Amino acid sequence: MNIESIYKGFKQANKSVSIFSIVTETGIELFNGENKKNHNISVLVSAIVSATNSLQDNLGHNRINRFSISNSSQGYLIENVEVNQRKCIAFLAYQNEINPAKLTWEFRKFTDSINGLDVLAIKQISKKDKYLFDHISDDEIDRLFFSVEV
Amino acid sequence: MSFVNYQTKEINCKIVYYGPGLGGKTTNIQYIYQKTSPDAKNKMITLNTDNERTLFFDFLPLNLGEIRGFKTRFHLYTVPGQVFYEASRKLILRGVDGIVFVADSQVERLEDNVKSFEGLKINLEEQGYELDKLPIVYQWNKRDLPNLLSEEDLNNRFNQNDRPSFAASAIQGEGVFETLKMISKLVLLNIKGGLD
Repeated sequence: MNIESIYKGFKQANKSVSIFSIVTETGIELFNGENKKNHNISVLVSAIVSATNSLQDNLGHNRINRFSISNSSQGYLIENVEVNQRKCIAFLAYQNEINPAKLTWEFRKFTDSINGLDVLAIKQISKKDKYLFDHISDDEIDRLFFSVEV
Repeated sequence: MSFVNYQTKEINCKIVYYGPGLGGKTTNIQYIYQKTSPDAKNKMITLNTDNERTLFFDFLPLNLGEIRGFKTRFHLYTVPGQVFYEASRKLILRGVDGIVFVADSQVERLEDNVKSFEGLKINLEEQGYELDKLPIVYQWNKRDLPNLLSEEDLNNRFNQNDRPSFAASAIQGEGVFETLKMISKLVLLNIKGGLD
């Protein structure tokens, strides 16, 4: 089973889900359930989790691996997951939900089922001790920015 | 830590603009945002106080062009400069790939620059980084104002390893892209994970 098919089943059973994404601790989105990557959301999610972890450390509390922000019908759920041997954040937003408690329970089951999966099917193995680029010319950098400076 | 997706051939890097309060960090990325075509940027996030000072961070995602077949995406962050936001600065430095140290060139801001720079070194060490091993570019900002320290003085004071430095007036856009291009180059050259 891959993540796309597991998510498809979860989404069909939970129509109130509007966004689902898996984000690295530093805010890079690895997977988006709707195929609409949004870097601003992923960065804000990682900031919320970082700030929460820091708050817990300052309070001397054990770290909680999940939390939610919600009212009676809409909210956000966050769970820690590990994918591609990397600690990540699973983020879900929902709207117009009649039974948020059930959705929260379903989301936990869903994140359990994706824990340990390889979200990215990495085909080429990298040499970690070797640099990706051994030389980059100033012209290459200028071309990189060609479409940016207007 | 930069993230290379070999499947989609994408490189994601994190650059942090660091420096004393009111030194021009946010002005740098606001200028970049203004001068960037809509296709290459997402919305800029600013988490400010009511009086427009950075509370947590500013964030600008830039989708640049390709380099040797890899699409490049740079995440630009600023830290809050005010002294009492130390906890925020530490968080933003997590996973950093490159630093732009934005110093205020005015003589009367020297002490603030020194405090910020010392704080940078301590915060990096706490995150397991060494300043000497991390790509860094120095920007001597506010060169349009009077009563300035010379670039030579600033380099002697802060840039003892002779890293790249640029004079700038971020509010007028001078030196902004030169700084960004240099740190982008250094960060890309520092990415580990060459292909087999």
